[in-house]
Amino acid sequence: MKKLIVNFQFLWERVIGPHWSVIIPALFVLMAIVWLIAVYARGKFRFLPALAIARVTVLDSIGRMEVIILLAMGMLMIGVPVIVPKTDVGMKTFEDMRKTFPFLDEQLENTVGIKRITLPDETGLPPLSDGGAGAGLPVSVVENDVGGRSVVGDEGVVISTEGAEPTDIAAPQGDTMGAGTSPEVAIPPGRTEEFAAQQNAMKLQALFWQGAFTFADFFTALIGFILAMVVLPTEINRGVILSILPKPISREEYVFGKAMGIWIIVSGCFLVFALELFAIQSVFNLMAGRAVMDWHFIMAVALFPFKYATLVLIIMGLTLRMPEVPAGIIGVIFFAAGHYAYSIHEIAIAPNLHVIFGVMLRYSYWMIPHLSQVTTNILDRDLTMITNWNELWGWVWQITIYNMILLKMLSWLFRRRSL
Amino acid sequence: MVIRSGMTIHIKTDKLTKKYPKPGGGYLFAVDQVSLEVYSGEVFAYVGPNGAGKTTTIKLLLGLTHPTSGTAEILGGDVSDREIRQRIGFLPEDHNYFAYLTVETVLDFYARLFALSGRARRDAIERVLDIAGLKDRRKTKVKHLSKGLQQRVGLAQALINDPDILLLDEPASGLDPLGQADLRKLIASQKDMGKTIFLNTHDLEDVERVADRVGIIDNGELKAVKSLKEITGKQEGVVIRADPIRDEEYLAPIRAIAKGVETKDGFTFIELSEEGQIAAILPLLKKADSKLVGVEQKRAHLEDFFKGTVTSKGDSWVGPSGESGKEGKG
Repeated sequence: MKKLIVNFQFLWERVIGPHWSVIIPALFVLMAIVWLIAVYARGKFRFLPALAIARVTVLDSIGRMEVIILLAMGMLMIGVPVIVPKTDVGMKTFEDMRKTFPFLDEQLENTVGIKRITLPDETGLPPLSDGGAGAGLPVSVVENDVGGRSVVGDEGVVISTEGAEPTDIAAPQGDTMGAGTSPEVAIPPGRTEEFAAQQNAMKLQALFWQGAFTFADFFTALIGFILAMVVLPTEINRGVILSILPKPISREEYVFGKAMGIWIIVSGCFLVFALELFAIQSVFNLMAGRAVMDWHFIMAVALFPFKYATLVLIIMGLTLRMPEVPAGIIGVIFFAAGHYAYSIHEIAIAPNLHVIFGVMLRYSYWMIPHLSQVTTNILDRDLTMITNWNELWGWVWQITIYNMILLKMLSWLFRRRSL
Repeated sequence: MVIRSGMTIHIKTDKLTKKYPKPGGGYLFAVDQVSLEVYSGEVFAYVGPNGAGKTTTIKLLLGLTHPTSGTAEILGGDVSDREIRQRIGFLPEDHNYFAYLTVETVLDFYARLFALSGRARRDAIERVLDIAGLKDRRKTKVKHLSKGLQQRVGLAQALINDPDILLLDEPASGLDPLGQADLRKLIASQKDMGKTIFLNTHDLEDVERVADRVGIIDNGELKAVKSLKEITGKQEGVVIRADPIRDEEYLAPIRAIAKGVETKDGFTFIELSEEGQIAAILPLLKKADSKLVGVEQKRAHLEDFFKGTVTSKGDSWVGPSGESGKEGKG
């Protein structure tokens, strides 16, 4: 048995593993095509009644106002923190908060390298924006630990990391840097701290922006969690379903429609949040004389609904077998495991792990939805560019097919249920 | 399958059984070996006490619940067949509709489930709004309707596809007397249109007015299936109405012959088990100086038949889907 597992593991590692991003999605696509052909050929699935279910689910949720209230709350909670660091009043308030709450200051320094800068008055140097006193003097551009480049000033202060091009740093500084197109950033000696202060403001804005984006992601997941948890039990318990299923609609079409309805609501909420962030960022960019946000952001946003579908389907399926609350909890655990899929994989390939445990963990890694890529990590530091399209689409395929399998399981569970 | 001239079987069950495992062992038989046939164009009333298994039978017929054993057919086929469900209308007992949507939107949704085109949907909605008397409520949200009006929405959705067979589970629930009268008219008009109606109810008065045949279910078992004529057409003696007799001296010999004697509303009513006993009563009336006012034939009532057939008190043990039933080991 152990030999078999090891052989299978060998096959997996050496043959499938290196090409998994092609082979696995291709297999899933093949399965999906066979399934779709089988279903449609027998005329067992019709989209029109399923769309009617989806439509009424959306209309009913909007009518109930809960979704509207959650959406408004989310927009407020996301919008305000993004705007605050972009305004002078906001920044002053934030600086006061940093003084009042030292832990905040410490945390910022430790996690994102934002240092409190107090410029010595005696330098007497004009601000950078006033002229190019030291323009043309080089700084060091070095390889950093994460494989990107860091721009280091003459006092060893790390100005930028995460593989950002120096041009990305230089551009917002205005023309005085004289390095908008240069691979090197010119910073005059003794001015590093001032430059770092400017960088800190930018970092802070990016930090809030990324925080807001992550919050939008999780808040949307929360809306999906709530809706998915109650949608089927409510319709079953209140008897709504009794007037629907005797109509010419299959149970498969019904659950497909329900899941689709919830998915449309959840995706719509995320889209609203994302557009809000896009609009805020673009307005401030335009005010600063820069281009609006890169459209890559919108493309990245379009990928997020895949994982909300996973959450919705898992929880809806579980509610058919257990009460709503445990179903919700298990669903969230499963969803969270998907978010930390990489960590599970890292543990699975640890060299000193027992082979059986390692194999089990590795296969369980394939069993969970791979959601770890579809987070704000898919975007670059400024959240404007998708960093690795090929890998991303590999994951998206996996999640899509994963969702189709979940949908099939959900239909199967529901078909056996007596009402 | 043709049964009588021009009549076919629209609903057929054969030893249909649904049992649930009971906590502590054994089973609860919600429906036990029910075999019945309902013919096209008739109003079949399925009556029984609370928890007798009426709703479970309907759920089994419609495929909402899966039978433990036995079979159920509607319109000559399996209810899972989409073509068959295209011809069925159903009003559930414990129903709720999308409370935050308007009546028109709700009906539009049900029409969409039949994949009707836009024009056909609009026509169907107009038709059922008219039948259910909801034309002036079309823009009202369901949650703002009274229980009776919500019941009308239920009836409207059941009729949206102009079904050949209509299954109504406690349709009079929540309706006021006017609404109940409208419902009876609706059932009669549907019957006139040749529709088959399976009426699940415990309102015996309604049954007497509209049903052709009656099936009585108790503890999950089908106790009797009879036509209403068979039940209520049976003569059960006569009642003599005469001028009031108050003196016990004259009443005693009458009581010795009669099944019952009662003086009320200015008359003395003498109930006799046979018509032939009238001859023996007449001299006694003359002796008491009481004038014969009238003689009426006494007919059996469905209620008496029902009481004589049903043995359970209902609500004895509540099973997984809210119904009670017979316990057993099977």
